[in-house]
Formats: sequence, C-alpha cells, structure tokens
Amino acid sequence: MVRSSRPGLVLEVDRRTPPVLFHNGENFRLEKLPSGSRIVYPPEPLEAVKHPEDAIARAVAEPNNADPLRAKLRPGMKLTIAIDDISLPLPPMKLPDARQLVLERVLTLAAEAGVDDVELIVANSLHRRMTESEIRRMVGERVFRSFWPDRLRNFDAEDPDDVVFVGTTEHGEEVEVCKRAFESDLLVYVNINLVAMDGGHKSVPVGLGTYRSLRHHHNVQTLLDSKSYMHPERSALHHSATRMGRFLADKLDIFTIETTLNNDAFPSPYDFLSKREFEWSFRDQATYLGVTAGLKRMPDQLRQKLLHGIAAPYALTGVHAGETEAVHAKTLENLHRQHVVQVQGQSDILTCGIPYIGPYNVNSVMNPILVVCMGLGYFFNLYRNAPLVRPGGVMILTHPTPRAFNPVHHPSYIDFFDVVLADSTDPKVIEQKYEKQFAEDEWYRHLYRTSYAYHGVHPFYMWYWAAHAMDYLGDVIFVGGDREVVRRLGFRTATTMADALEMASETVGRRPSITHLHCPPLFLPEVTP
Amino acid sequence: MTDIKKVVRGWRWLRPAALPKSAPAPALRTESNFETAWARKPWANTTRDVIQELVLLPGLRYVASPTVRGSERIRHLTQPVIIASNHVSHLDTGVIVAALPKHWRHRVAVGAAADYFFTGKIRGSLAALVLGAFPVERKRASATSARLAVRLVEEGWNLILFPEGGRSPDGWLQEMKPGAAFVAARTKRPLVPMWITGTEHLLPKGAKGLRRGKVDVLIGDPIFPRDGEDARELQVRFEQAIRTLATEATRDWWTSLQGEGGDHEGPDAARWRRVWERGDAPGRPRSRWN
Repeated sequence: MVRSSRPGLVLEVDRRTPPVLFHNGENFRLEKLPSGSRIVYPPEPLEAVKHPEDAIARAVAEPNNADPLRAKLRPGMKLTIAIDDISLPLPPMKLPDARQLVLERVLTLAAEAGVDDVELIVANSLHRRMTESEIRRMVGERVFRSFWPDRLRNFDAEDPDDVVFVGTTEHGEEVEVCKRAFESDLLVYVNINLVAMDGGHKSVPVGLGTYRSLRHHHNVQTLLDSKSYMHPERSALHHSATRMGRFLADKLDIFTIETTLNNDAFPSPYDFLSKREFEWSFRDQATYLGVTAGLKRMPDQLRQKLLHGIAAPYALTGVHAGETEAVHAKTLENLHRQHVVQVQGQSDILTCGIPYIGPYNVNSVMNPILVVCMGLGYFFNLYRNAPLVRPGGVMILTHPTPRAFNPVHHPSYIDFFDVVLADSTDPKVIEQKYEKQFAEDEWYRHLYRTSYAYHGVHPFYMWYWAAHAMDYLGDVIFVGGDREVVRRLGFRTATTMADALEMASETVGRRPSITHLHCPPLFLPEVTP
Repeated sequence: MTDIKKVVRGWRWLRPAALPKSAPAPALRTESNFETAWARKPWANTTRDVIQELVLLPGLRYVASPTVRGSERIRHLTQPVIIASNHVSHLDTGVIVAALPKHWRHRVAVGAAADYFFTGKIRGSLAALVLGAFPVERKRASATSARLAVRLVEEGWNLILFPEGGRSPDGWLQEMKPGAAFVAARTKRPLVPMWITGTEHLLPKGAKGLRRGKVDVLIGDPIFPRDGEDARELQVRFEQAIRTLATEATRDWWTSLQGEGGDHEGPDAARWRRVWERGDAPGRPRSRWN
C-alpha cells in the first residue's frame, strides 16, 4: 500500500550522483551523466481510492452534469458499452482491471433496470483486435462468460455493416463511427486515463471511429500543430476530436465514465525501475544486475514473455462519470495531481530510454517505427507549455532498434519500413505519396478484420506522431542502435552515451545543458521556458 | 565498462549513501520504523556484554589506551544516569563505555543518529546489537525520539547521548542540543558530563583508517535536576559544566574553577584555520626545522 507520495524532483547531477537508469528496449542500462545535467524524476504514486467499487457506484449515481445512470436505463432500450482497448494502461494492470469494476457496476444497474439489449464493444478503432484471452483478462470472467462472443466484441472499423456516416462538423471533418453505438439509446464509454492525452472527446470519435474520420486529425499538419498531445488546450488533435465529439454528443446520449490510475507502474522485484537511483538500496542494485544479466542471456521469446507478463500494481485514484466534458475536466485535475512536475527552463539535449512496451506492442515486439513513435512521439511530447529541449536541440534515446517485426500484429509496418522509409522519411512526403495506398490496401484490410493486425494506415500515424519532434529537433541520436535500421529511420546512432554527447556537440556546442527524462513511470513536466 | 563496475563505482555499500547536493534529505527514521527493542532483551544484552568484553574493549584499549579521570565523582551515583559528552570520533562511544564502572556497562543504551546508523537494516541491527544503539533524530526535534529516551531511562537504562548531534569535523565544540537535558529533567536522573580528548586524532570524521594513540576521558560532576527546573534551565547549567570540564581537560582544574580558558568553539573562520588552530596531534614528531 502506498503510504505517502513525494512530488516529482529535478535533480542536478554532481559527483555524488550514481549512474542513471535508462530503459533500453528489452533490457536496461546505466549511464553516468555529466555534472550539471538535470534528471527529472516522476512524482511517487498517489494514495489509492480505498474502496474502488464504492467510488464507482457513487460516481455513476451522482454524475457530473448528467442524470444518474440508473435513471437513464429502462427496459426495451438499446445499451452499448464501449471500452478502451489493450493499449491502456501500460504495462497492463494487475487484476482486477479498472474496466472490469466499472463494467460490473454498469451491468448490475442495467440488469436491475431490465435492459436486455446490451452490447459491449472494445473501442479499438484501427488498432489490432484484442484476442479472446486478452478480452477475458480485461473485462473479468463474469462479464466475459455472460457476453462473449455475440455481445462482447472488437470494433471493426472496416465493416460496412457496422459503421455509419453521421455527418460533417463545421470544419468539414467527416464523422463516421460504429453503427451499433450510434444507434443505441445510450452509449456508455468506459475509459482508463493513463495520461492527459487520453479520454474526453478523444474517446468516442476516435475509439469508435473509422479511417474516414481519423484522417481529419491523424495527419501531419494537425500533429505539427499539437503542442503538445498532453496539453489538450494547445493540441490541434484534441481540438478536432472535441469538435467531432460535440457533434456526436448532439445526436447521441453519451455517458462517460473515466478512471484515473496512479503511476505505480512496476511491481517487486522490478520496482527499482521506479526508484530514484541515489536511493537504490543494495537489493535494488543487486536486482538490477540480476535482471539485466538474465535478460541479456535469455532467448528472445522468453524475454518478451517475461517482460510482457509484468502486471503493474496500478491503483485507482479517481473515477468520474457523466457528461464527457465535465467528467474530463475532473479527470485532468486528477491526472495532473499525479503527473505534473515543474521544470524551469529548456535544455540543449534531452535524453531518455525507450522501454520494452508501448501502446501498440502489448504482447508483441516494439519494431523500429514504434520505437520512433515512443521516443519522438510520446516522450518528446510529454510536456506542458514548452518541450524540455530547446528548438534545434538534440534528443538522445537508448534502444537497440533491432529490425524485428511481429508479422501478425504489424504486417503493414514491414512494408512501411522496407518500401516507404527507403523512399523518404519526410512525414509530409510520405503522407501524400503512400498513405491512401496503405489505408485502402485490401490485404491489410483483410488482416485487420480477420487476424490481429493493426490497420494498414497505422504505421503512418505512428510516423506522423513524431512529426512535431522531427520538425523541432536539430538531431536525434540512438545509443546502441542498429546502424542500418537507424539510418533507414533517418537518424544517427552512437555506441555509447559519451559518443552520443560528443556527436551532439556538433549541433549544440561543447558545453550543452542536458536533461534526462526518467520515464517510465509516466509523468508530465510542466516547463517554464 | 561492465554493469558490475558501474554499480561498484556508483554506489557506496555499508555506508550511508552520499546524496547528490540537490537531492531531498531522506525521510528520517524513527523507532517506529526501526525497531531496536529486541536489542535490549536479555539474550541480546548478554551477547553485547560478551562482544564488548572480549572484542571491543580489549581492542579499544589496544588502540586508544584510555586514561580515565574523575571516576570518583560518580562513585556514589545510582543508576540510571544520562551521560552526555562531546563528540569527535566514532571511538567516543567505546571510550565512554570503557570509562564507565563495570557494573554500569550491562545496561547502557546509546543514542545514535537515525539518519546515519539506521538507514539500512544490516547497519542499524549491528549498531543496536553491538553498541545498544537506538535511533535519535538529530535534524529536528522529535517527540518519538524523546519519548523513547525517557522510557529507556525509566526502565533503568543508562543513556549515552552526544548533545552536539554529530561528530565535530575539526575537534572544536559544536552547538549543543537540549535532548540530554530534556531527558534528565523529565526523569529527574543525574546528567553526567564527560569530555573526551584524543579520539579526533585516532579516527576523525571522514578518516578511512584508524591510528593508535592515547585518549583522555574526564568525567565531570553529575548535575542533578532541581525541583521545578525545566529542561532549558538545566541545559544552561549543563553547557556551563561541559565548558568547565573542557577547560579542566585542556588546562587544569584550578583554571577551570576560575572560569578562564573558555574558548572551546574555536575561531569563526574557514575550516582549515579551525583545524590549524587545534594544533598537532599528540605524538606527531615536531618539525626538525624548529
């Protein structure tokens, strides 16, 4: 149990500072940063809600700016419950999953009200379908047994019978969503908010949206204008999603239930990953040595199985229900309470380690495009106000970037890497030249619908996600990266951190300021330039 | 560099971590989260007696050859008492124990810095077993530490406390905290001032090796709390007594009675000048150029 939570910390490295932990794909490494560098540490996990079931019951009984859920339920109605997919939270949480607890409450109320026509839809949008066992784990045995497979399913954004074109917003954005959800008397959206980017109006129009809808905000220009994704007020992506969400909310009764988690991301014995290195005990040091040596020697499959088997001891810090915007405002408050760390000033160099897991490779391999998305898409954009690194600065990332792809989950990524990136790494060029071809490719469409493949257009979105960072940064260096792969990605590679800093000096001079983002666990630096 | 080398070079073992300057101080540990009551149970007490009598005290006598003066001042005292001394070296605790009457040593508890000795399980448990240490928070006034100290005296334990809160970096007397006077005032038990000279040359703060030499321990007149006297008033008397004792130790008894030779805090100057002012360690050969 979490007893107290210390706020985040900006540590200045001096000669007493021990080496700093960097995630390094499916392993970890220690790096000694130069004196004067800053390390930004996340706040410690907030205390959990003591009785989650009671909190959920209270939230749906006393919602924000909406009637209580019980009052919305009646016999003969059509009820659809949409659920966030496996991309949240990361790592997957220890059971029971927050979604299970919410679903059980909502379904209990629906049963009491005599609602028969209930359908549960995983709002996976263009993500891969979740497998049966993944869904069972997420929703819990009771719900799974009651609804699978007819009334509990993945959303199929390419099923012409299950999508409906709703109309266009005042900005000309086409809104096309899941038909079953749109035609329901009530849509309940059950959300997990791990970071400030998630939730709000981004849930329904994106999670239950199709390519036709998503392309209006998942495009290079919109993402270039999103500064950052974690700061919804300054994110063109969120502005677009909000317009679509409001457009839908006028036509559809949406009851949003958002949950927030603390950032207790790693269970024992991996809890050293969440600790500040200068507070590492002898046990933490020994565990680090044991874990890194073990992971290094393991066969790839076993290592992935072990790492993806880690279940985070996340705990619920809040649950709010009701009208989407009123709920999301409270959710953001909760998230900021857990995540925000004040940082003064930008630096010339930002360093960060890329972990083994991201939103799009749960139970899979993090391929080179996802590595770029994690580093330049997510970690670079992990800020409010201003990036941690100055315009034209350098980002140094640690990851071995092997040329490894999961052909079941990421088939279009392989062609994207071999064909598209061989031609150009410029997001705008790629968007114009290749996006439509991949998005409408029948084979990818078939794999998305019948196998467990991400949609054909998904690698493009991952690349666009990094567009803002590519436009903003002067150089990107991967420490320990595969030279061929990193060159194909359009970046540079260094053998050691010292080499990377030496290479960075070409861009930022001989005496650069350095900031290290000690992430994960996730947090949100609020940077005052 | 291999990971093992990085870990070996990056962290300190069996010593408290050297925190980066900008790092927040660690949460202070207290009796509530470092249990030492087991170390005062009969079996632990006996173990400690054996270790002290067979290993520690013979070793200490070999290294420090302590000379104890003033024992007659406490010969009529009944236990328990609170012993408060200046503090310049890790050897001080052993030297005080060696200076105590033999029948007192069996029930001695030593106030040890919670943020130094009790930051790790192994270190804290060893300190509790071998020295009879219990954690004292020295960076702030702590009701928990004070309550524990009072309870120990009430249970009949002689306390050894270092009112300066830590070893002097240069041998000069530091500002004294009122903890010892507080315990004495609350329990109405005598406060015995002691002055140790010489340990700062054998194992000064920050030293990595131990040198042999001679150590003097001077025991002062016990201070009995008066009726109605509070800790603050007792602290004033104690501070006066320890300065007098310091003068007696460094000059002579007569000078101390006259209230002269009273600068024991050293010059208000840079550290090297304060060390310089202390003079050479005894036994060091004089420069042949003089």
